[in-house]
Amino acid sequence: MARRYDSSTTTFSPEGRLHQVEYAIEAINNAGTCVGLRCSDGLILASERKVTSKLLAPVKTSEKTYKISDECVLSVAGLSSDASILIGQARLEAQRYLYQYGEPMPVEQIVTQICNYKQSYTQYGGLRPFGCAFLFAGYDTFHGMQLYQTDPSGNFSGWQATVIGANNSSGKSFLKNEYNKDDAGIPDVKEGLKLAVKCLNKTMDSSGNGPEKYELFVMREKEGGGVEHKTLTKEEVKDIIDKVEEEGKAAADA
Amino acid sequence: MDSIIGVKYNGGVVIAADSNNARSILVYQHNLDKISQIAPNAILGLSGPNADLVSFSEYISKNLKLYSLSNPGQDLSTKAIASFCRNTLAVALRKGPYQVQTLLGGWDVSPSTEDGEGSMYFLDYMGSLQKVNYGIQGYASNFALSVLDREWREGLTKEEAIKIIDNCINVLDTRFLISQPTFTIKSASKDGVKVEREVVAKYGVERNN
Repeated sequence: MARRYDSSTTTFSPEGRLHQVEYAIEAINNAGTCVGLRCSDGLILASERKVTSKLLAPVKTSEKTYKISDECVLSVAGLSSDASILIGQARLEAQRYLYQYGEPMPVEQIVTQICNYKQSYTQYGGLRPFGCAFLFAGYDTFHGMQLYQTDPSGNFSGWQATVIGANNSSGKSFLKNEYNKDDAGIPDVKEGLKLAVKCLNKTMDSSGNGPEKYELFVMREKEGGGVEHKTLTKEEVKDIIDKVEEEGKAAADA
Repeated sequence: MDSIIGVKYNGGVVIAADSNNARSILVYQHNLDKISQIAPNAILGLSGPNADLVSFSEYISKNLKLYSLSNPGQDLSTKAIASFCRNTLAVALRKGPYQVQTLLGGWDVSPSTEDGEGSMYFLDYMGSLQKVNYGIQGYASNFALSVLDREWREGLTKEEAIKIIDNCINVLDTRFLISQPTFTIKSASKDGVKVEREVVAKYGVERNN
């Protein structure tokens, strides 16, 4: 019976559900994982790179983290081809706003615009929803550093720390325990990076992964205004993985 | 023929405008308010044909209202409002230009401190935008800009700023051929927009006979 309502995104099933939208959300739950963390001195986006083939040319810069504007970045879980349409849209909207008002677009407005666009694909006929979820990291003068999560239905929410993609629920429960543990305060970027790597280790299938499997990005407020974007180099990523491993061993020994 | 005078002071901006509504050789009314409140903390002094003043200030203020309803808690800064006005004028320029020369004054809460800052922008109908400490639109600039050049300084109080505007009006009364018997004055500061001098109609002049 449910089959009858599967093919069309715009028709509710008798149970009041939109199956295509739910399937799209489900598809993302199998995609490469992305972790977002708000830190005391910045924001972290950490993603898992799926290395599909040894023969594939390695990506030069990033495959999951995309700059939207000078103060906004997102990382993708899901179909990157679908995502690139939305990323183009987000970049256009951000620049249009800058052109119109001479000031950077507030982060929540970019998120809202993109989510409105995503939502329209769950309502108008003949189209499938975007098969991707985003983590938006951004800065504006109203709310400072912000982290948002979006899904194919067009829902979005703001977070201190969150995970999207494969095994996101185990990643989230890990962060629930470890982020701001014992109310010790939210971590700084240095601690946050280790936490993000630990979180990715929990969600990834295999353990003991090389640095090419991780994509770590840090956003910090610059002194005198503006935002600094930094994608960590292979060496820096390796450094963090090693530290996490050491700490893991030390904890096991203790 | 309109005179718009603006002065920034420590804590806000005052803008003055004559209250004549005139076209060609005819004065239609003597109590027109040419300073429009376009946002909770921003005022726009306009010079130009009455129709354009009304349609431009309404277009801007209604769009700002729409923005604040769609994005609560993220009100546009004076700089952003100025930029929006500039864009509106620049787009209109190639279609049906708004014939407006404006001074925009506003007050912004600075995000880092509890305090805020006033700022003023000078806009012409072609969409050129200038951040200024003081400015005049209209023929009045030929007479009174030198007064502002001499008397404006950093750290004025509101009273001092209004005094400077009165000095400008004095020069206009003495040397400007066109009669502008009354001026309205408004301020934008942390207390919002305040009317410093009401619109009043004053007909004719006192004769010596």
